[in-house]
Amino acid sequence: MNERNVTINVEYLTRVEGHGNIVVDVKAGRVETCRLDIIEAPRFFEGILRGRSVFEAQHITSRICGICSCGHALASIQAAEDALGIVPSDQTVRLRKLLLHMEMLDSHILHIYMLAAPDMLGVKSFVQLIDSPARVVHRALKMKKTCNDI
Amino acid sequence: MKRPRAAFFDFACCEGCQLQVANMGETLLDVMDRIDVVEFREVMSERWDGPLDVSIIEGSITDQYAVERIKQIRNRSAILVAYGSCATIGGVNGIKNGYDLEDIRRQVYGGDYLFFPTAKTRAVHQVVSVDYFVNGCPVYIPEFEKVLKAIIRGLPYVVPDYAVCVECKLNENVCMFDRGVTCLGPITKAGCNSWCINNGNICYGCRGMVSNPNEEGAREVLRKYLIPEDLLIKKMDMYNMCMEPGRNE
Repeated sequence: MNERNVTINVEYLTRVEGHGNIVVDVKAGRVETCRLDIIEAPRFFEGILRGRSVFEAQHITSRICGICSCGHALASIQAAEDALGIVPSDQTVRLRKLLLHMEMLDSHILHIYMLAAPDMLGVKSFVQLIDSPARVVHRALKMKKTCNDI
Repeated sequence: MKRPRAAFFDFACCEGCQLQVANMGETLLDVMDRIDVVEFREVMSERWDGPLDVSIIEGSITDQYAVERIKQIRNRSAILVAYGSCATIGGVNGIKNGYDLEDIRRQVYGGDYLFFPTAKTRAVHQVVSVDYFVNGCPVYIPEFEKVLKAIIRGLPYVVPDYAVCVECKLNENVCMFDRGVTCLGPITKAGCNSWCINNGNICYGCRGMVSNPNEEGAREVLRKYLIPEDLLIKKMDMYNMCMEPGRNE
């Protein structure tokens, strides 16, 4: 059994949306503390939506997260429609799904190429991969642009 | 300036404006050629605690911890850029300034509200001095490119102080008022090339108000289209609450 003492204190998790710290404290091989601190400043979306028109609500909720803004906007629209008893047309639903899929694809490309790949390749960020002969960064940026264009 | 050393820092925001940088496509690589990005938490693990030529600040200042942090960043930065609505005018984070803060904390977090301290939302320039402003929610990348060029050449960048309508007319859009919806274009600062209206949406005022709006003209438009004034004022509050006198003390 490993009897080591380990202290890990990651201030600011990087390559992720949102702010967090990781604290791990191991004394004589025993984990004393293992904590993910969410240090994001609260923005009180539930509170600021009070008294807003349903037309404004989706615009505000989409600002919850810059990476998944379409998801938040669509959820808000759906909630408003449910409340008002509105049933969107088949075409509208399909277009919304297309939007959602493009956002998801975009997010996956961002995740794989820019946020996760550096870990797998042992570098700190995609910047060090720009000059790689496979031109992966170029490819990722092109694919991301395609998602956004759609 | 020779390949300035630059960093991105995020405060209270959705980080979508930083994402706009990642969304630049291959232009991003040209930008990286000209500036040396040493810290960019959302997409890089590198850290830099030394002096900086350019700090790009996203998000609003909403607690004491953020005040200390932004002052520390200001102290080691030659140039400080407020980047995105949350940083330039407080943005949607400012809506909470219209409520009693203790009430809103209780309402959202119930009995645990004491764990979620907060202060009145402030834009970055309401806490430290700012050299360049890149407005927008999210920022309009062509404008950000202009600002970067100005920084590299050591020139000022002046945010247009005329209304979005000017650009909208040049883009030959049909006026939103004529299409039966209200729009904040007549009182919002231009510079975005009427991006939203070109794409069928209205202007929400995310770039902040022009300094000398034609109030009487706006009132006349509202009367012509039978729109109540308070409806429009409420729309203005969505992004501009922090900029109203007395709303951020």
